[in-house]
Amino acid sequence: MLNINYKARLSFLLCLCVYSAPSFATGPRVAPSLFTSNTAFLYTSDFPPFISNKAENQGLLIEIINTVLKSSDITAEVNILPSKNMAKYYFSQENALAIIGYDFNFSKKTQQKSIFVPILSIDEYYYTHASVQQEFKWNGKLSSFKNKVYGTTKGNNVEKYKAAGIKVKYGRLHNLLQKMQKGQVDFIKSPQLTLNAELHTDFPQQQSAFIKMETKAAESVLGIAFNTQHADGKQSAEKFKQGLQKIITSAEFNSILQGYLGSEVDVKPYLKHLK
Amino acid sequence: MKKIIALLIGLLLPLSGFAEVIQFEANESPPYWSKNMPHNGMCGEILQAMSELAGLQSTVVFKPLKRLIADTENNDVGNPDFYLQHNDFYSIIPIAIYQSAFYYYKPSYPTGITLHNLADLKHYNIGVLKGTLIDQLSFKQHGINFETSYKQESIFKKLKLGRIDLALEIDLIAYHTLHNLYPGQHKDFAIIQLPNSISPIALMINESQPNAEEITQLYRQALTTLIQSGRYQKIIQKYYGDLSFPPKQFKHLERFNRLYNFY
Repeated sequence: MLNINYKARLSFLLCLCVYSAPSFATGPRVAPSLFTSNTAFLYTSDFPPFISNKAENQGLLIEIINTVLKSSDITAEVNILPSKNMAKYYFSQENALAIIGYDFNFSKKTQQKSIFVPILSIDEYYYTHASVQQEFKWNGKLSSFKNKVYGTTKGNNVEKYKAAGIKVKYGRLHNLLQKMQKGQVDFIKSPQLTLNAELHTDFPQQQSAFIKMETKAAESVLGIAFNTQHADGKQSAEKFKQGLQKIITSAEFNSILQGYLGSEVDVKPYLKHLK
Repeated sequence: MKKIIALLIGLLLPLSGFAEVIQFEANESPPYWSKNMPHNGMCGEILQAMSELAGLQSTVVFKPLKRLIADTENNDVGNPDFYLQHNDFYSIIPIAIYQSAFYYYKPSYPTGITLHNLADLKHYNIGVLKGTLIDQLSFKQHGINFETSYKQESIFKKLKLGRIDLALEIDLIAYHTLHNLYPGQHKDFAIIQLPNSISPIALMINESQPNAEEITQLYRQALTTLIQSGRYQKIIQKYYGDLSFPPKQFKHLERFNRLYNFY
C-alpha cells in the first residue's frame, strides 16, 4: 500500500512526464553536466524511486549519496543516464570515479578495480501477468520457471536464469510490462516500490493484472562502486564509507528514508546488509 | 546437386527479407531531418547514401516525437538518449554528431559575456526549446532560470528583443535560424561553444526489424565506405556552409558507437 507522501511524489513525477516531453529528437539535452568541466562524475541509470531525474533531489538513493558527498568533502556530480550499460561503459572504459546502482555484472577485470560501498538493502519479487498466473508455481528454485521467458534490463546478470533453462528477453521496465501483457514475457523481477511507481504512472487501469509472487526473489543491495584506477577512487571510497556511517549514526539516514517512504517506515530492513 | 540448391536457397533467403523497404521514423528537426528539405535533410541524405551503398531500400516517415517514443517496435532516428529511457534497440548506429552553444546579442552586451561554470548562469535568463530540459529540478536548486519556447525562431527573436540574455541551441540549427531570420545580421549574435555538449544522431534498429543483424552490419560497413570515400564530408559541408564542423567528429562517432553498443 502506498502512503500519501509517496502518492504525492508519484503524481508530481507524472506531471513532469506529461509536461516536459521533448519536442525534438535531434535537439540539445540541457542537463547540468553540459556546463561542468573537470568534474568527477558518478554514473547511474534511472531506477525510481531510488534514482530518478524526475524526482526531487534525484531520488532516495541519490539524496543519501549527495548528503554523504557533501559531508565528506568529495566533489563529484551524479549523472543519471538513460541506460545501465552506458553507466557501465563510462566506469569501465572511461575511468569514471564511480557507478551507482546494483547488479553491475562486471567483467572480472572491472570487478577487481572496484570498491563497492553498500547503502540500501532492498527486497525484490517476481511478477507475472494474470493471464499466465496459473502456470507459475514459484517454490524458491529457478528450475520451477524452466522454459518460461524472463524479462530483464540489458546489463543485468542472467547466467543463473539461462542455466535453469529459462529464456531471456531484454527491455526497459515499461517495455517489459507491455511484453507481459502481450504474452511475450512470462515474468520479471523488481522491487515492489519500483514496480508500483511504473504501474501507477503508465498502467493505472491494469495494475491488478500484474501479480506479485509472494516468496521473495532476492535480497539486493544498492550502493556505489568506486573505481580504484581513478586518481581519487580509493581515497573517495574510504571517505564515503566513513561519511555514510556518520549519517546512519546521526539519524540523518532515517530522516531521508522517512521523507520518501513516510514517517512510519521501518528503516531496519533497508540496513539489513549492516548485520 | 542437393547441396548446391540448399546453398542457393540459403543465399537467397536473407535477400528476400531485404526486398522490403526499411522504415525509419523521425520527427521534424531541420536541417538534420525534415520532410520539407531535399533528401529529408542532412541526415536523411547520409541515410540515403548509406542505403545505396548497402544495397538496401529505406524510407523516413515523420511523426511527433511523443508518438515515436511511445512506439516500442519501430526503427527510430535521432539522439538515442531521448529514446533509451523507454525503448530498447537491436543496434544503434551513430551517423553524425552535433554540438550546442550559447548565443547572446552583442549590441545588448557590448563587453561580452563570459561563462566559467554552472553558477555563472544564475545571472542570466536563458532561452531553450520546450522539452529539452533534463533534470529541471537540479537547475532550479542551483538558482538557474530558463524560459522555454516552442520554436527556435521564437528563442532568437526574444534574444534580439532583450527578453532573454542567452539562447541555448544546437549550433547548426542556430546558424540556419539566424540566417533565415536576420540575413546579414547573424554576426551580431556571439557564440559561446559548449565542448561537453557533443551528442550523436543515430539510426536505431528495432529488435523486431526482420534481418536486424544483417542490416546493422550492412549499414555499419556502408558508413565506413561513405566516410573513406569523402562523400560523407561533402554531404555535411553542404549544410554547414561557413560554420565550423564539430571538432574530432569521427573520433566522437567511434566513441558513441562504443558507448551505445557496450554490453
